Amino acid sequence: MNTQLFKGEKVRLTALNPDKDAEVMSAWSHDADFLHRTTTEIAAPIPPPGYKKKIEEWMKDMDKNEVFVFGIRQPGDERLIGMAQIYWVEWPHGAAHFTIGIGKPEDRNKGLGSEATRLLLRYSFHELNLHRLATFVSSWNADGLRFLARFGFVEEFRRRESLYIMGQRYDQVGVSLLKEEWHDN
Amino acid sequence: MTIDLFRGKLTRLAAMNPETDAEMVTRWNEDTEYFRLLDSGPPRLFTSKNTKEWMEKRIERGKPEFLIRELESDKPIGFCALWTPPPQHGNAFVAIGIGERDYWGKGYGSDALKTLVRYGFLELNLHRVSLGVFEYNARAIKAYEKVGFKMEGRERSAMLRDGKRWDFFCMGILRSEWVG
Repeated sequence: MNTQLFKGEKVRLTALNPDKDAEVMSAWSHDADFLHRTTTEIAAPIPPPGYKKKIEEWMKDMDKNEVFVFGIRQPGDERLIGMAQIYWVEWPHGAAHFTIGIGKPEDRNKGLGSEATRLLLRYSFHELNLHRLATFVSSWNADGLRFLARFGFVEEFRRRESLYIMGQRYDQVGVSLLKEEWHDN
Repeated sequence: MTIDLFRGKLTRLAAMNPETDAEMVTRWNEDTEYFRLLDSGPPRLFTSKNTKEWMEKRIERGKPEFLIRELESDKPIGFCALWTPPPQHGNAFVAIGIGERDYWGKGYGSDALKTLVRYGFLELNLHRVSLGVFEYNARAIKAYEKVGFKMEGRERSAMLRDGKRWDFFCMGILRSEWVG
């Protein structure tokens, strides 16, 4: 039994620090491309105190088992490189949603997000005992859709023209992975 | 510019009043068949006071719900609302429920939904309206199709109820598809 849920070879899942990590997350929020990839909210730079408050709220929600938030870091390095979150957990149905993001472009395409996702999936299915895990991707984000397909995520709906980004209409694509479709590798 | 935005053929949309309507909404939500067609959360029991506070909070946040009243008698029979998080995409989600069982399957919900969708397109200037519905709610799916909503896919086995897995259907109507 592999009980090292939070440690991978290239990354580890860690707690968020409301003071130090808020600074880093504030810096990411000045990159509208990052925001458009990770959320459908109105893109806006948020100062560190805004993220400090958010992190503190997430910690409260974690105490209630409503949300599970992780900072992504490399072994032996305290620098925050990304964030992952399991949210909207419907315990009676064993269903939840998740998001993951690697903040800086230079930290992407190195397999760090992939390994963090593998850890997150194992946590979802082998610790939270979820039946399904879902997420949303904008139809312009082919990289994101390909990334998720590699883990077995299946497209299940397209909310037609429900996103309006940089002057163009896009579909919101819903994808999910069922526990029985997941392979722990 | 002469249409009455809040008036349909069988129903009208009215303000929800926490003072006078909380007791009725509490009674609707105690009907677990109704509640399990409406919500994926476990049915819970609330006092009228809880419901009143919840309704007041929604009004405070600027997200009030409409009361659906039957035109002929002016009797309150259900509620509906459009939620627009986040607002810049021109998309909104429908919530609708007919709490009075005597008014099920008679076109009242469809009529109120038509009025709500018209409000979304003519007043909120939405690009599309979305909704979600449980696989086992055949009557609602038929009503939504009648109003012009199209099936856009399904969240697979998103619900576990009465020991069975059910899909959660996603439906939507674009302004260009809407026949006002």
